Amino acid sequence: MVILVYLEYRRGNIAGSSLQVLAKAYELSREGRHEVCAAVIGRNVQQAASQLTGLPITKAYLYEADDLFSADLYSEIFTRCIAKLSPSVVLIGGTKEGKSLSSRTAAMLKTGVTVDCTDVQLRGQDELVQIRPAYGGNVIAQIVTEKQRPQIAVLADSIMPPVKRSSMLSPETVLSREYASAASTVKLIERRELPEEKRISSYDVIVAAGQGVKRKEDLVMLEALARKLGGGLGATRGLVERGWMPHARQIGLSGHSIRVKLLIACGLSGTVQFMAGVRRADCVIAVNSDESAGIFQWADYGFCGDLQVLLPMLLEKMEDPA
Amino acid sequence: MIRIAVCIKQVPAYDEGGMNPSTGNLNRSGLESVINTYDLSALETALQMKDSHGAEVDVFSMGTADAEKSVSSACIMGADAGYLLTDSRFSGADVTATAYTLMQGMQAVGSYDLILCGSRTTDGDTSQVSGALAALMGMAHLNWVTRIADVAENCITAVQTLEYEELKLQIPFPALISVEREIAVPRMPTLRMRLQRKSIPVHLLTLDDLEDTNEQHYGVKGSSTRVERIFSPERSDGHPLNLTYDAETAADDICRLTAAVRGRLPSW
Repeated sequence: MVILVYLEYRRGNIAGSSLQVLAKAYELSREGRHEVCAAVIGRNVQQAASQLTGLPITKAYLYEADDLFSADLYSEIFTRCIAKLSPSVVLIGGTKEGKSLSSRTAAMLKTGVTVDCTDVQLRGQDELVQIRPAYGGNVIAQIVTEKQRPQIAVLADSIMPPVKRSSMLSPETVLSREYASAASTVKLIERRELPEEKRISSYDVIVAAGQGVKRKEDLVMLEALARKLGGGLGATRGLVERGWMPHARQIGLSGHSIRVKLLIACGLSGTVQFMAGVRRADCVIAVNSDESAGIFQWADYGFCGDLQVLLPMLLEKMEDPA
Repeated sequence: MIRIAVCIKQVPAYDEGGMNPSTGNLNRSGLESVINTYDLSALETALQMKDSHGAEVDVFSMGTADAEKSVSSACIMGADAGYLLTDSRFSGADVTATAYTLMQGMQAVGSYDLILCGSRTTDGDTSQVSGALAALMGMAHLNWVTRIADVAENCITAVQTLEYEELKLQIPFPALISVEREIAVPRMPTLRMRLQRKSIPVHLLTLDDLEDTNEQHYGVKGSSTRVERIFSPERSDGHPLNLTYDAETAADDICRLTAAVRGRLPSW
């Protein structure tokens, strides 16, 4: 059986998230001696070959194509690759590119797709058991693609540590120039890098606000608290949907993943949806007025009480950053 | 005049306290149904194009008969016509079956230059139906759109926000675009709008109104994926939790704790 992994390739680099997906593919392959193949699409894609050295891939299919990811062109190429290999399992990283690609690919192949999988396991001959949060992230669903193949799973960000390279491995590569001059009907007008500070995932300390934050003034104080700690202010999906915080600050499955030394969770209950985005937090401080809030089960330190009472005190006592 | 179809979904008005943490059961009782907030932004985007360019806006939804109130509410906000795909044979549809049903519904009504969707729903949260619909319709699409830069007769220019960059892209009609919430603040249906527009009917479409009437292609039967089981997550319980109820104590403790953590950080 073949497990096909989509390796995202932008500006000459294979995305870190794709190497995490590859780690999962490798883990699955070892259970049944399955074959892991990879598809890479992009400009000067041959240069990707050197980055594949040491990766646990039998064969990598490199497609020379426009550097601009466009879902229509890329899914056409990717489905062509799938048709050639007939993989049972297709794994894609849960980036915005990955999710755009998976939706079209599944529809074109008339098969199922499960996104934001927090885990996938093989069962029986080639059945992929797909685990993901459901119903607004409060419960977990176990999903299978009964008859259709391939089974397409989009894995949640940071599902595994990136795959380890081994000097023993050297994947065979197959280059295709079939789509070298193919173009999407989508035209790039302008490209702008987002400033670094916008990325909530870049902080070591994060103050996260949830729906329990009832006044915008409290949000201002939480922002000040985050600044005093040299950190950033993040939010749950609920608060983003309330329109109080931009999506760039959203932590969780449909937002960003974080790895932090310190997380101060304020007025949030700690749903699966949110906690799935907390990949690592060495220390969790939780503030919630509801003693039964799930977040307390994750916390090292908790204050059960009124955030509006605590915040001014905390800001007054806390030293300014050195 | 461009013709726009907006896809909306009626969803439960979940909040973060939606689950009883000890039993894992969803607290669904008394929850209202609302239009998925991302779809409201898609609708508002369409209505703004209608205001500035004179577009014709139709709303499509698939759901139970109860979803008629959401489609009706979209019409009150300014859509020209509403279509609800409702049939017990549509129920239990996964991503591809949902997209297929929406495609059949749109094709039964007319042709559209632009289809607008929300980037995700608050319940399913897959972000997959829009792209699947575009693929089935054979049109190019953009997800994650945060701004419409320009609307011309035969194309639209939009800004797509990815993780690390923003792309301004031009896409020719027919096209599908899925939008983020921040693209537009939805208008509130006022009493005057309600009075003026209450006569706009919602058209109900069943399987028999579609071109493909093979029920194997819809709902549970037309779905490739199946939910085997639903369970509540295991919570971490290995942590010793130090819990206090006194704000003053908490403020002191948190100051000490954060100072200690900061001390361990490599650089500030």
